[in-house]
Amino acid sequence: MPASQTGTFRRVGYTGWSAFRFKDPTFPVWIGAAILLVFLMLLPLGAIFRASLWDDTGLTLNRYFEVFTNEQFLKAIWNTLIISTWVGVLAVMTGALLAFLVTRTDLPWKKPIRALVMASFVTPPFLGAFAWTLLAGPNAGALNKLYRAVTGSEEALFNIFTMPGLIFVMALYSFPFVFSMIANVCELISSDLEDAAEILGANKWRTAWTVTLPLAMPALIGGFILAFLQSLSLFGAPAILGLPAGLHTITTQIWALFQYPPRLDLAAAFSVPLLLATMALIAVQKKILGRKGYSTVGGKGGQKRLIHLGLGRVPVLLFVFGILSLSVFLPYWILLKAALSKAWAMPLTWDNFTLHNFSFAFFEYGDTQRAIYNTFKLGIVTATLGTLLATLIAYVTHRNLFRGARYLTFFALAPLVIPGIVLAVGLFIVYTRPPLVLYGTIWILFVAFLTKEMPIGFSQAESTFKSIHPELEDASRIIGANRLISLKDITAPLARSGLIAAWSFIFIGVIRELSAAILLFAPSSKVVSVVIFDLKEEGQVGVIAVLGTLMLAVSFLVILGVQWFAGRDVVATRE
Amino acid sequence: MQEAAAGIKNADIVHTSDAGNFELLKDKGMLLKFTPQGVAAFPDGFKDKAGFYYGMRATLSVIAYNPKVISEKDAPKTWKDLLNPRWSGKMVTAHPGYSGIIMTHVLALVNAYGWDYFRDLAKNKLHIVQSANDPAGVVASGERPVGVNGSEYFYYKTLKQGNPLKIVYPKEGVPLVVSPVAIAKDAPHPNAAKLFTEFIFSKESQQLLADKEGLYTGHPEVTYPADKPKLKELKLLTADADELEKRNAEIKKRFTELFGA
Repeated sequence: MPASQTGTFRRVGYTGWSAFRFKDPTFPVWIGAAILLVFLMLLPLGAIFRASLWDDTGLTLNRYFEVFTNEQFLKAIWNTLIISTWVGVLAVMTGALLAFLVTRTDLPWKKPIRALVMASFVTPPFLGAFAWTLLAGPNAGALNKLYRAVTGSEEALFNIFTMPGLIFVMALYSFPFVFSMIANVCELISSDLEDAAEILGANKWRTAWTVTLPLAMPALIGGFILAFLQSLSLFGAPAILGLPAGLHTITTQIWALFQYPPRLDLAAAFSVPLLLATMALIAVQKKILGRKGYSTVGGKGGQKRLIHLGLGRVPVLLFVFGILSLSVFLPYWILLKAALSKAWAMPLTWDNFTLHNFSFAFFEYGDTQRAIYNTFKLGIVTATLGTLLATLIAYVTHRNLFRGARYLTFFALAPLVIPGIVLAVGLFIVYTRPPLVLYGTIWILFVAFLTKEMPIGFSQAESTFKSIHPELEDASRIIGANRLISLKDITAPLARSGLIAAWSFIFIGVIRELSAAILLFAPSSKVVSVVIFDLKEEGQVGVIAVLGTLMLAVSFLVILGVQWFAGRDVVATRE
Repeated sequence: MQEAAAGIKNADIVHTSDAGNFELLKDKGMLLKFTPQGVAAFPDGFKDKAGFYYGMRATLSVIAYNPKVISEKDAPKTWKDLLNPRWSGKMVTAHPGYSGIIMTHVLALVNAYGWDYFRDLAKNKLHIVQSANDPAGVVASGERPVGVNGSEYFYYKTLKQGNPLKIVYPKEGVPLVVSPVAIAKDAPHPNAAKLFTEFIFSKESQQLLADKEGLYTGHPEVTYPADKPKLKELKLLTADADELEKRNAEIKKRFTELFGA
C-alpha cells in the first residue's frame, strides 16, 4: 500500500502533502538520508563531469576526442568489456550452481561449503591474484614447477599473466556475491509452488524451467550485473595480473593517467562514458525484470524439500571442493607457506622455516602498525554508519515513502558503476579545496568507502526488505504504531540478520579496499591494502603474506563474532 | 602537481627520480633557491646550474640475472645481447610511465641506439612491471630470470639479502640517474626544510646512503662497498633534464605502443 494512502487512511479529509507531514513525524529522517546520499554521490560525479568538460579556456570536448581516438584507450575499454563479461558469466554459473546445490539438494557437508564460499568472499581479489602469481607464474609458479617435475616438460601448464588467467582469478572472487544472492532466493522459494506444478503434471525439468528458474531469474540477472560491474571496477587484480602481460583495463589505464605528468582531465573523460553505459545497463535490468519482484515470504511459511542427488553425491561434492580449492585452499596454502619461509619458492623445511617475516611486518616495517589501526577504524565507522544509511534508503525506496523515492535506488547503486579509482579522482577534486578540505586525513577515505560500499549495503538491505511483505508493517500501523515504532518492533527483528550481513559486507569491503585508497592515502593515513601494494613493488613476498594472512584472519573473526551475535549464519542463510 | 593545482601547500621538500620534474617545477616558480654546504664539490651531473636543486642520491640502471637459472657464461653482457631471441619470455622490464629511473634509462638508450632497439627488445615478450625496484623480486624468484633494466641499488640490496642475483654493468655504457632534492617555494616549514637539506647533503648522511642503501652519491669523500664498481670505472650515460621533460609524453607513448601497456 503506497505511503500517501496510509497517511489519509486514518484522517479522511486531510489530503496530500500537509497531512502527510503532520501525521508522520519521521518524514525529515527519510528526507535527510536521501539528501545525504545525493550529496555523497552527486558531488564527486559532478567533479568528474566538470573536470572532463572544462579546461582553462572553457567548455571543451577535446578530452573526449583524445580518449576515443587513441588506440590504447580503446583497447583498454575492449579488454575490460571482454573480461567483465566472462567474469559475469563464470561467476553466475559457479555461484548459482553452488547455491542451488547447497540450498536445494541433500549434498553433505553444507556448513563447511558455506564457510569456504564465505572465505572466498572475504579474500581480497588483489590478495588472491598475488597468491596466484606464486602458484601459476609460468616460470617460478609452484604448480608449474610441479607440472614440469612430474611430466619432464619444458612448458608451463598455466600462465596466470594472461587474459584467461585474469578472468579466472577475478571470477574466483566474484562468484561468492552471486552465491549469496541466489542462495537467499532459493531459500525463499518454497516448494509449494514447485509442488503445484508437479501436481499439475509437469516433470522435474519442466518445473525447474517454468517455476524455479523464473523465480530465480531476477537474482540471476542481478547477480550477473553485480559481478560484471564489480569486475569493471576492480583495480588490484588487473594491475597484478594484466599489466605484466601488457593488458590494460579501464582502471589500470586511469591509474596510468595519474602517473607523472598526471592527466586527471583525461581520466575523468575516460570514466564518463563508462558511467553512462552502466546507467543504461541498470535501466535495462529494471525494464526486463520490471514487475517480477516477488514477496514469497509473507505471514505464512512454506515447506521446502531437498532434491536427492543419490549416487551423484560424492562426485558432486568433489567437484564443489575442486572449485573451492582454487579460490581458497591453494592460495591460502601458498600464502601461509610464504609467510613462514625464508625463500617462498623452496620446500618448507626446518632450514627454510622462519618467523622473521612476522616480526619484520609488525615491528620493523615502518608503516604497518599505523596502517592496521587506520584500517580497522575505517572499517568499523564506515560499516556502522553505512548500514544505517543503507537501511534508511532501502526502506524509503522500497516502501516508496515520497514521490520519486525510487529514483534514489539509482544513486545508491551508482557507486557500483564508478570504479573506486574514478570515485577517488572525484573526491580528490572535491575535498582538496574549501569549504571542506579532507585530503590528508583518513576522513576522505571514509567518504570514499562509505560511497563505494553503499551499493553492497543497499542491495543487502533492499533484498531484506523485499522479502518482508509490507502487510506485516501495515498491520502494526493500522493498530496505531507510527512508522519508526513499527520499523523497530516489526521490521527490524525480521530484518536483523540481513542487516547484520550488510554490516559485515561493508566492513570486509572496507578493510580490503585498494582502488580508491591507492589515490587518496597520505603518509599518515595509509591502510593495509596500500601497504601490501607498496610491498609488492619491493618484492617483499614474505611480508605481504603475513599482512594478507592477518587481514584474512581478522575478517574471519569478525564474521564468526557476528554470527555468534546473530545466532545464525549471516552470509546467505536463512535457516 | 595535483596538490599545487588544487592550491594546497603541504610539501616542504620535493624529491623524485626524474630530473625533468624539477625543470618543470622550476619553470613554474614552485621551487625555492637554496644551496646547502659542500655541494660545490659535487660533480656536474649532481648540480642545477641555476642553483635550485641538487642530486641527493644516484643509481644506475643495469641488467641483472638469476645465476640459479642462467650460468655466468650464458648470461647477457651487453644491451644488445638482450635482443637475442633465446631470451624470449624470460625477461622483465620496468616502465618509464611509472619510474623516473626507467624514463632516464629509455631516453639514454634511445639516444644511443634509437627506437629500433626497443622495437626489437619488445619482440622478446617481456613481463612488464612498474617501478624500477620491481624487477629485482621477479628476477630473484626466477619468474623471469633476466631483468633488462632496474635500479642497481635495489638489485644490490636484494642480492645482499641472500637472493640469487648477479648484476651486469654493460661496457657500452650504464644510464646514471641522479635524484635531486629541492625545497618547495611555499613550504609551510621552510627552516626545517633547509636544515633537512643541509643534513641530507652532509658527508655522514651521504655515506649512510652508500652503506645502507647501496646508492651512489655526488659527495667526493664517500666510499663504496668493495664489490661495487666505482662510478669512475664505468662509462656513464646521462640524460639531460630539459630533454627528459620535453620528451616525457613521447617516450611513454612509444614505449606503451611497443610493449602493450
